[in-house]
Amino acid sequence: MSSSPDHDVILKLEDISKVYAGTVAVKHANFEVRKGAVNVLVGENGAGKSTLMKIIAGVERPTAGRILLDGNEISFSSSGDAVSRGIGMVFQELNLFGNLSVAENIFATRELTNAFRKIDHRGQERRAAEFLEQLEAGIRPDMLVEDLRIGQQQLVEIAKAVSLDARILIMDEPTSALSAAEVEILFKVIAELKARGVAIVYISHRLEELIRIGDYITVLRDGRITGQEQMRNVDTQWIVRQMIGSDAKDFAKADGHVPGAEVFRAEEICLPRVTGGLAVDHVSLSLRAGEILGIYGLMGAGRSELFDCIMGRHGQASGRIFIDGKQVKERSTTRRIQRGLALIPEDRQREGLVSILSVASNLTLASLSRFVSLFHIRGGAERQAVMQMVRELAIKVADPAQEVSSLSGGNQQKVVIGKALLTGPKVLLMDEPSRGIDVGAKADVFRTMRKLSRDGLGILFATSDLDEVMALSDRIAVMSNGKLTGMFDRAEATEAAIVAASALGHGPVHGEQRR
Amino acid sequence: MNALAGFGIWAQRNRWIWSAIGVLVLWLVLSVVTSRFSLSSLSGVILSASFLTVVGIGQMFVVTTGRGNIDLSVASVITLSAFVALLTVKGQDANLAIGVLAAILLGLAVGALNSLLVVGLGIPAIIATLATGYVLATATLLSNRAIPGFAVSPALKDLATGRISGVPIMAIIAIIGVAATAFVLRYTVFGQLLSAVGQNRAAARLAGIRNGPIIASAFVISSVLASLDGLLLGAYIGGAFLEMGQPYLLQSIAAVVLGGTLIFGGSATALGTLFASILLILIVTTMQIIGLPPGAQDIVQGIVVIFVLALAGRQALARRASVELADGDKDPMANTEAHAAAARPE
Repeated sequence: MSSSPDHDVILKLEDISKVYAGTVAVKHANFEVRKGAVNVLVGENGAGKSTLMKIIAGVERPTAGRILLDGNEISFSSSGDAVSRGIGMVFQELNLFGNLSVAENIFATRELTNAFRKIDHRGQERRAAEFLEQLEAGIRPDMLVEDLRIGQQQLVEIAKAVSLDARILIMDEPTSALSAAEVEILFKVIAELKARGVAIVYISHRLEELIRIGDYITVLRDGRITGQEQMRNVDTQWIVRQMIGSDAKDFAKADGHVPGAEVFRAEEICLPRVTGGLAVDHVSLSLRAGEILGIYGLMGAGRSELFDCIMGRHGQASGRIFIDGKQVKERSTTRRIQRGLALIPEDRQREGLVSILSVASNLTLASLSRFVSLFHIRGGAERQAVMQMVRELAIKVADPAQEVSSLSGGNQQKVVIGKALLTGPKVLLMDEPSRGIDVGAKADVFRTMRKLSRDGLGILFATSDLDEVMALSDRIAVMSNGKLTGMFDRAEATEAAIVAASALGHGPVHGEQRR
Repeated sequence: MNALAGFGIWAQRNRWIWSAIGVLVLWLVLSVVTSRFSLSSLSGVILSASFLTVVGIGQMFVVTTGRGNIDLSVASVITLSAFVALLTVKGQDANLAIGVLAAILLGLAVGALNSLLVVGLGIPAIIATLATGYVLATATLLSNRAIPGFAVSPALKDLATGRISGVPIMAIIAIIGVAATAFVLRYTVFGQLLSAVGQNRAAARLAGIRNGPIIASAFVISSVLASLDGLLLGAYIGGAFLEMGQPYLLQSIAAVVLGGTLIFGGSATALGTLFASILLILIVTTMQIIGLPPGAQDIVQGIVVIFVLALAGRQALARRASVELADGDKDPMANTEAHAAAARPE
């Protein structure tokens, strides 16, 4: 716990919990926002940061707990309510109107008007220019937002929030689209705001950046606050430890089978970022049959993007991939699946399942052509394949005709895996295979991965869970900031080495290459 | 009580049952209340409903591809097809094959154009098919000038108006069409893929499905069915007139949603479209019996569609909300701006 705080607490969340339709997003969180300081909030995706912010910004109301502003208990009826009490927010997604000018965006919904309610454009532009001046970005207030670079748009978003004259300003990954020079300007603006006594809640995944700018840090994991400290007392290692945690998990034991010949190789995979720079930066790796290669990295390291490139989901991606030594020239996802690649996507609901269809239909969706005779689907053959998958993956379902959305998260994940397996893949890409499923189901999924690798499948899996990558992988690749920053055999891998590699290239030093 | 709950679950999967119940109830009421309604007038209703069913099935395929896809060109296709039939068949049975071929070609051409606009160029279907409809209306005006006369080939006339032991041949055609569609939806790869694409394009693409051709085929099916329907409708009324397809625009969409096909795509029921077509025609007939003017009839039909969509929309919203809440962290503040704008005083 933080001792001897130098700053006054302006906003205090006491024992806040938030429950969404059965899932607990935030559990008994105590969070203090201090005046004239940068209060950093950090945690992996799904840790509950967004929910906590939504509560502060008045978008969501907590299920339990109290919010104290200046020591008085309050409850926001809407985000407008929060704004009127001096709480502003810079959104991670750009919430700008591209077809309006910069000034019009900054004053959207609170336009300066004259006595006849006519908008005073000149006045707005003059005021906007003052805010933009601080940001030194060379943005003219009469420019259309859609003509600006993404980074400049982000600055407009920041100018908009600053113009609210907020006492508490929440910034959700404000630097994600900024160049190194723009980050420096932002930090200067933050310093000025601090000097004026504004409390800043700062969220970012770039650890170096947090350490440089933060005064207080709060770490969230699985909806719980796992650490709260003054920034000067902590280092990168501490933050990562708090974020990842060390829950005891049931990993299936390695069975000591020896991987076979190389089944997959990627060379020089690159993916440009919209904001300039590379989201995936010249990544090359190879995978042997029956091998599990874990790709470890923090949020935004480029793991998912790498998988998307390999599957042919990005038109702008470059690089070469090989299966069984033969180059895959096909660029479309459909063709690459036919060549033996399959992806288990991170977001099951959005990309993995067709939720109204039955378990059986979802399982066979990607491989229907196998069950066709002339016109129609041969019910018998399809049913047989479905039953086989249900048995092999131990999917708990009373009747495969049930809607897939009625299953638990772990069983849904198995359906997605089963669907991929029925296409007869040689290489399985699994993006965060254990995310959002309970402990028991995790163990099941891990066992399934072991079994598949024993059967000769090459598995590439991405995770931000340190224990998981240590326990499951035959080899461990580490990505950071789009680059491959480490490759370890299991025998030689240590947590410290992996964490060190995963923090490489974070922060503004490396950022200079990005634009 | 248990049986009722069982029926509720069963009805959730077989949404066609609601329109079937509607038909039954309305028919019973009509038979009791008015002596002018009998079994024979029911067969008239079914005949009219058959024409609607054929267009409705096509519309259903398009709606099922999701993302607000809809075919607004069906009305114009029906009209133009009736004119093309007059031009090509010229009242002779000998020319019938050419007439049918021309109708199919017309349907294929319009379907291909719609697909090009929607799938190829990414124009929203609601605008693309509306524009196609206007282009076709002009073509209809041109063919209206060239029309040789209103003779209908006898064989075609038999097909459109004839009965086999009291059952309209047209109804048999419609029922065969519905059965075939139900089979396609349920037992063919195309049916499965259509459902998958309509519900979740991202997942479909990751399953290796090419979405484009599936969506394009739906538009082609819709146009071809509308075109064949126009051919038969022309034979039924003994000619063709401008705007003759117009009533089928709203009614085909109404038949689809009333039948239980999801307006957001991904789930279709051919049987529902059939019963909903009958129900719609029954409603129109009822209003005629009551003596409502045609304008008022349109108003009632419009209200029925809005009512059904309002119900369906609420269900869809509930479903969507539950999905979004389940992964609550994934959608940070999507609505905040709207909230803020709405909540802030001027």
